[in-house]
Amino acid sequence: MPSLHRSAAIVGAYEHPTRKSPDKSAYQIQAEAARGALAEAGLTIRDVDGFMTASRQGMQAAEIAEYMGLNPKMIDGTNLGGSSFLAHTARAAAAIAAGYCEVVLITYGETPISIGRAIGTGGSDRQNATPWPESFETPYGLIIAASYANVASRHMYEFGTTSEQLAEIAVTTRRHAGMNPGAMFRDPMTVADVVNSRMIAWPLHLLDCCVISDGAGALVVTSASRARQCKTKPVWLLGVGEGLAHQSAGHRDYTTVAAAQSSPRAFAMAGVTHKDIDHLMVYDSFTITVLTTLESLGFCKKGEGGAFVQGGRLGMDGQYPTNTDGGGLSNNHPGMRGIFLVIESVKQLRGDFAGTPRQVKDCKLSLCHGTGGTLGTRHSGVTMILGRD
Amino acid sequence: MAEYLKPVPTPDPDTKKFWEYAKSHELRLPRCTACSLLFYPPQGLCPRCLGDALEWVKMRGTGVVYSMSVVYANRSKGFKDEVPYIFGYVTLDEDVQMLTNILFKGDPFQVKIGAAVEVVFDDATPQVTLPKFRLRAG
Ligand SMILES: [Zn+2]
Repeated sequence: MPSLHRSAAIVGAYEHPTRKSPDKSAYQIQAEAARGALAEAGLTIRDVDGFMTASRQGMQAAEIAEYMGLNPKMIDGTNLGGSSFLAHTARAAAAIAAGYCEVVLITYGETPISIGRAIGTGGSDRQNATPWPESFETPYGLIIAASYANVASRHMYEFGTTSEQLAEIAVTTRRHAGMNPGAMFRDPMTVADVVNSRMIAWPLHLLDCCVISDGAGALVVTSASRARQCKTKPVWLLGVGEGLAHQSAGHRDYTTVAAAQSSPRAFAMAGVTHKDIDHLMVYDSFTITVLTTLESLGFCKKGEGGAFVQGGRLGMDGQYPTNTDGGGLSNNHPGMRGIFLVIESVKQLRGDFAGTPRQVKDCKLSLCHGTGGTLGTRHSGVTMILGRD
Repeated sequence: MAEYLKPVPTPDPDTKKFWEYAKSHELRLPRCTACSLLFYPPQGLCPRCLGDALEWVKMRGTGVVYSMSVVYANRSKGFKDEVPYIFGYVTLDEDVQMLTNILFKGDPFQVKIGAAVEVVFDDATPQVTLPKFRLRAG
């Protein structure tokens, strides 16, 4: 049976250093990221014959391709929110395996700071039309943080999860940001700092929420044979799975997230088990996103996430070093940060941080999971398991 | 009267009936006559079997809080002066969830998950009434 298992490799992964970009457009920073990802692989923009991208900022895939002078054989603007770039990687591998194209460039870049766009607390003003299903959400004051907060409050109610347990996720992630010179926030913080920070949407405090930054990133995916000619060590797609959770017509268990669907698919394709995983990148729009995703991925039982994240389990010396770049909680979050999860997984597997505290020791298998959309209404989940030679 | 600045639902073919009932202060939800799914939000056909023979069932108007958030930060014009407000899911007695506001006077944390609530109708504009909830007395 055909499978995406080892069907393609990631040969370029580049995170743009900018976190605030008043002088360069969202087009330019993602083109610069593309240049970086291609250069490290020993490729140029002329080698690209497939292009994939997504944005919340209104840029169409064709416009971004035009900016880079691309006339690719395949263009794909699939937008699933923050998980898009993991889905792109899977679709790139499928297209490559089918012989549809061979070198796929995936880019992302947005500048919410420089254009003054609120993300988590933006809310909606009166507008000409409020279509289905928004009609049943924004009139009641939906903000993204409040939607996630509903999942958090329900998790606390059902399982006794505490704000201090959620805070531990933010504290561990901040410690990791301290090892990343490019991270937006690097000063250590404590559980008390988190639970005493300003309430945004109870039970989520300011420091339970991701940062807002500008930023860009790029990936290059290619065939096994082409990967062997590239300058970088190939990182292989071993397993991938997708899932979608929505309101289920008013019959939903909100503490189970889409990862519960995507994770078994990814593990089955990869042929590995949870205990084989050396490194985790789990989308962290909010602390509760990490906790519920870890449960639904199957790293712990449902309801046990609070205890699971305590005691340093997600730290560099813990069982599952997680979000080692500092995550959305401290490193960067331009709106849809899935691409940065894949970039960090690739870099850990290649050993790019060897000789520094940020390198996960003997990192052979990395799992990244992207969440796109809003946990308390509808979201996609894409789980990807990556490995090295 | 102050200008209403919050988003207002746009009744459309999927939702027109729901908003008409709400305007007459009735909470009615569609139920599929083929597979009997009672669902929310309303839509023109059943999201389980795609059948389009629906009946509009009157709800008792009571339920319990399933989940909630007390919102302190919303930068939009209509909500920025209304914080804190409660944005949450209510599970109706008929076993279907609705995303809504739970109204309160004074301390928002009088409202708790699991608390009994009842529907109230907020005549937001001359055209549209929003079903919301408040703690049930007694
Ligand atoms: Zn039906």
